Amino acid sequence: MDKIKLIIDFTEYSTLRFKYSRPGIIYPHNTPHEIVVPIPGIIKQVLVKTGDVIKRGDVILVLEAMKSYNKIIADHPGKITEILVNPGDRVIKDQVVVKMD
Amino acid sequence: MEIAKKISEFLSRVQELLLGGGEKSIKKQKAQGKLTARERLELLLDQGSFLEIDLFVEHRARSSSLQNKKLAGDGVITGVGKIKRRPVTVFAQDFTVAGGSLGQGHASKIAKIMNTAKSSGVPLIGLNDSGGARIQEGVGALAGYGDIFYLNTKLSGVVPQISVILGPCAGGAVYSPALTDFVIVVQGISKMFITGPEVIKTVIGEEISMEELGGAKTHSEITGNVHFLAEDEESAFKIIKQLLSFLPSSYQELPPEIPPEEPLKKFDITSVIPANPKETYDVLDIVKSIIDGSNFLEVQQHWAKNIIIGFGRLNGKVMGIVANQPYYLAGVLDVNAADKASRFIRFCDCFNIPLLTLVDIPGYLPGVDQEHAGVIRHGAKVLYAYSEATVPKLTLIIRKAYGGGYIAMCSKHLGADFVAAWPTAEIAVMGPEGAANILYRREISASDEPEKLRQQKITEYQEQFANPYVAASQGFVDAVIEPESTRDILVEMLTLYYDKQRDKTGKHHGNIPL
Repeated sequence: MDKIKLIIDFTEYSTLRFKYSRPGIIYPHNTPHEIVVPIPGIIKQVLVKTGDVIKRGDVILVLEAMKSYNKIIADHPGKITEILVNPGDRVIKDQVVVKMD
Repeated sequence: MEIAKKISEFLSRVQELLLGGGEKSIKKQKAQGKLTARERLELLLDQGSFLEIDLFVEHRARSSSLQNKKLAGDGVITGVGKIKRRPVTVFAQDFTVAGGSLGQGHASKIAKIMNTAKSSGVPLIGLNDSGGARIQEGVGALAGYGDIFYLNTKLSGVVPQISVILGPCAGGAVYSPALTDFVIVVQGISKMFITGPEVIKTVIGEEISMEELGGAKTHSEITGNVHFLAEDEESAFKIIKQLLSFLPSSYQELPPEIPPEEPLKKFDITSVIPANPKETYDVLDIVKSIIDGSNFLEVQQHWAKNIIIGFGRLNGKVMGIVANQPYYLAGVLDVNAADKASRFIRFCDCFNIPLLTLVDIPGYLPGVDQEHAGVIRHGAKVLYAYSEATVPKLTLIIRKAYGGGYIAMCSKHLGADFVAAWPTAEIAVMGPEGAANILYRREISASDEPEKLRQQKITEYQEQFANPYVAASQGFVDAVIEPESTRDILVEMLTLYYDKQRDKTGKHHGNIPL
């Protein structure tokens, strides 16, 4: 939790707010065993290999879509068991790109 | 002596009513980790400011099992009070009294306090903790809900309406909050659904837990039904106080102004925006380096994260901020982002809150999925909401402003009062790659080295069109500005337009695509 300063009628108050979590990173469709892409695009870069042990927040791959390099980030820790795409592959929304256990 | 006796009798009557559903029910409420309705009011309102109305109202369930029972306050506490010395109207449903169920007396109390809110021009805060309609009162209970929905609608755009969900809320009980401006839920306590897990299981055989179906997290992240997620009840009340500090008490007032403050974050464009326009960044860093004290109250933080909405101040004056978030889904406009932004824009327009729009949008999201979800109809809401809004509208184009997304994000064409662009802006009908592929398709396919020619055409297009100067040459951008001077320029423009003449039309109302 983060303390945020709040001023009302020239008096200062402190209020608690959820700690600001960096957005953009975690897409809701990921499960502990599958990483999917949230929008259609082209795989720009795969940053993990089979056997890698990853933690929450690690960048798995970069998806080029909507004129941007979108980082696809692990929502759950685990071990990479299978990589289903290569750089240059075209992927559709919700396509499974990496499997984990 | 006679008078003293009357007074003591009065006090003993009050004493009994203040206990709500009695000690046993209160213990049960506590065991569920919930506060009682009176404790909630104590935490929400300034100390000693609550004046209760309709304490003695009784239930109207004649000829039923309830006939000879007393229900304290008919399951709801209503009244007026103050939050940080500003008057508010409140109701708090009391789950300890017949499960907070809504009967006619209960509903008429809420309706009365809503009318007070309307006629006195002060915000309405509803603390919802109710099992739903009181079955014993039959259609009378439904009538009660109907009256409340009607008044919620009449109050809409007149005074801010805030709902907190502090228990299970099912059926009719969720529609009143849904009609209000802001809904706050508490982790582990709030549940909202039209039909609960039991009914779903019986009727269509699907099994789902209450939490998954309509818990706080579900509504914050998936449905977009709520605006704030609080960790506990106390934080929920703090959010209300913080929210109210940005809002006027009614549409006839300006939002509260406070002394200006410099942003805590310092502006350093090169550290915020990556050199490569394809790399993403967090637009909140820019928001926080523009607004007073970097103090930003984000609304719907967990839903449709590709667009950011919330309140901040510029030179002491409240602004509603809408910003594309390149960090999430490249900042595209999709069905949910369009809904999120449009409703916020309309709220600000209702309550005299100027709009600041930060643009970095690659466009509307293409795909079957979005098209079939009705992105045309939803996307049109953004166009409608911005065009309709008559509050001061300031726009800053940070980077990408492509195609329909450029028009939608409060462009000059939709009535922006001032549009500024950074030198990093790219304002064009489509991205360089797409444009090169379409414009030079024949040349590229006829070439001996198609890939080389394609790259060359992309670069050419980028140099020629992916900048703010084409738009500026036609007056669609009012000024291309140095990023360092952004805050100063926006402050100046806000001051200029703050008292802008707002045109009112004589029509009944427009017909926004819903």
